[in-house]
Amino acid sequence: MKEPRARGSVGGLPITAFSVVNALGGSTAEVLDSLHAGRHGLGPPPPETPFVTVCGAVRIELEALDRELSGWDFRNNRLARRAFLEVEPALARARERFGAARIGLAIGSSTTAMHETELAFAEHLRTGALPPGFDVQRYASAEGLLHVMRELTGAEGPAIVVSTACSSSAKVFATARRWIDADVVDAVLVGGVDTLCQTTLRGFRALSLLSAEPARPFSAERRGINIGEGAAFALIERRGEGPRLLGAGESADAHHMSSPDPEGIGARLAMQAALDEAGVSPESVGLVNAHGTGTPKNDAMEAAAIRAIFGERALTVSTKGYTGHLLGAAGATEAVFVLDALLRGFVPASLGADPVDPELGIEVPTAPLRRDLRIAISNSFAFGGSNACLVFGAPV
Amino acid sequence: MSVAHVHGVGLFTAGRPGVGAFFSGSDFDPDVERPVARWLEGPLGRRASALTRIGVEALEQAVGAARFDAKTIATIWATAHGEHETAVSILSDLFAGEGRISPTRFHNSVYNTASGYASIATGNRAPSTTLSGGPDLFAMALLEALCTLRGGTREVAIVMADEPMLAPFDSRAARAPLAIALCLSERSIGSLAELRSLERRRIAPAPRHPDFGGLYVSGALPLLEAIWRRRAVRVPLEIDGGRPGGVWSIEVAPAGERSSGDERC
Repeated sequence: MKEPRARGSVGGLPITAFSVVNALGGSTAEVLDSLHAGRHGLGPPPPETPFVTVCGAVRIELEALDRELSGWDFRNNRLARRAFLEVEPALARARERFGAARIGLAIGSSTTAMHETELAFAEHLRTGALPPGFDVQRYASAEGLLHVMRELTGAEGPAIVVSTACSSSAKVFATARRWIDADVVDAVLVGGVDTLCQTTLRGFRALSLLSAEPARPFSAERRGINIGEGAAFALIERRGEGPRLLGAGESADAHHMSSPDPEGIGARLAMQAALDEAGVSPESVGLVNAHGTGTPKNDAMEAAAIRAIFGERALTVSTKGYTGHLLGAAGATEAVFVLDALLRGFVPASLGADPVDPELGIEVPTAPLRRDLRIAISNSFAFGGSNACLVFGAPV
Repeated sequence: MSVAHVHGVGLFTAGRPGVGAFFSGSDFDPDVERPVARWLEGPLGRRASALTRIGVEALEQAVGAARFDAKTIATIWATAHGEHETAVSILSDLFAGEGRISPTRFHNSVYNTASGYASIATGNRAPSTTLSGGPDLFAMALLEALCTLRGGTREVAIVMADEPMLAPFDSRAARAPLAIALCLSERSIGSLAELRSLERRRIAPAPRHPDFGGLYVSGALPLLEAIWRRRAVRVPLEIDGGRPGGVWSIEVAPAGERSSGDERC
């Protein structure tokens, strides 16, 4: 079979550093150790949650931001800083190599500082005034997150937040590729960060999508999602060593605001577009990191879409049974898990999947595997029918 | 960065719907507080928020003027504060009674709500993204659009919309919502204007408009006005410039004419 031809950056773009912080641990090493050991990080929800569920809360102490960023000292920004510190040396090298103006920032987030905005609103109800200095527009917003990231990174190139709910931090990889291909920048720090808040917990509860127990994506006994929080970053450069971003595909469902199209047409379009951009055939893909939320509808739709493109033997994993669904941080977090799989030849167990739903017709590992992976994909789907698929390759 | 051609523009604000009505100084029309947004007629539209309606209305105007296919155009949405009115309603619900949230309000609270409604209304499965950020957000949406065209996409629309903030959060001093849209292509045939050289320059930022205060979407007004008045000019794209490297700006010229320099808008 003739291999398709890649569009854009031939051979892909190297990812020279990555980091991740979430319920599995406070550093990349801790998170990946837990993933390899098959341990989840799920636990009780915030105490103000008025129903039973489990959450992927970050349980380490997060340091306050420095004094000059005290106006922006929110949990979301603390999480971002914590994860960023690990990629800071690589970013400093890129800044030295390309210049600060040639480094872009593309960060996915759906909550930004919603948790503190809820607290501020409650204080206003109690006292008639917001907390001193609280300005939702300047500080507790996407603008505020970008300000913090600019200050932390010293990057002076284009900077955006992508906010497409649960596909946000997958779509930033597509943006980074466009910027580098168009020669706007030479490197982009992409990532995602989201924080637990009552709006998302009660919102998903209102949609009857929350599970009272740890989520079990692709299981015959799956009951819904858990919400988590975390941050992840990846530094994508024009040249360098490391696993590669080979392609990205995006699409819309054009079906429903919060339910996936049962036919999975949008999901298939995103996967096919990503493969086309990467110039790789479905047969060459060794691992599918699924969106795999653990809701009956998502997993059925996604499995059908995966089957349609990759056949019934596609090795498919969801990691949301470890971390919960990280919403705006999910895409970047799971991209890091895929990069680790490509670097170490390790496929994590799809935690909670046993017994796998036989109706799905895909291969879901319930125990970890060793595989020599060359190419892997990662799916992210979202409210509004926003779909993204990323194709990654092992280092050349 | 390559050249792009503007094929259609759209604008909605309360009382002055449309680019022509806005820039010709038409009297405020009190019957047009809400946009028509024909795509959102029926049950879908009854659930749509005010911000979604004005964004979809601006997109409809631009797509109609450009004669682009609403079912296939890629879209780039931008909003600094997202579905703010919906978010404040949710906050009120959180702290009232049992603290329950409406499921419709919740799925209407994501920043890509308007993108979702527009794609559902038109059956459009093309890529769509939603950006957020600070004063340079409109410039970043333009950058994303230009890079998308450069990557081989034939037609792209930008929609940017924001609404006045509600108590207790308001500090933007805006009186009216504003949505703008542009349809872009690398094709010159049938275009209204040509865009080139998106970059930061040391030029004055766009003036604040009394109706829109600190809403960053008003940074798009100089570009829309230059297109509407068929001016060849470099226009600022931000109202509150001031970052190192200057204000994001772009050269615009009527179709068939090249910009002659850096005349300020």
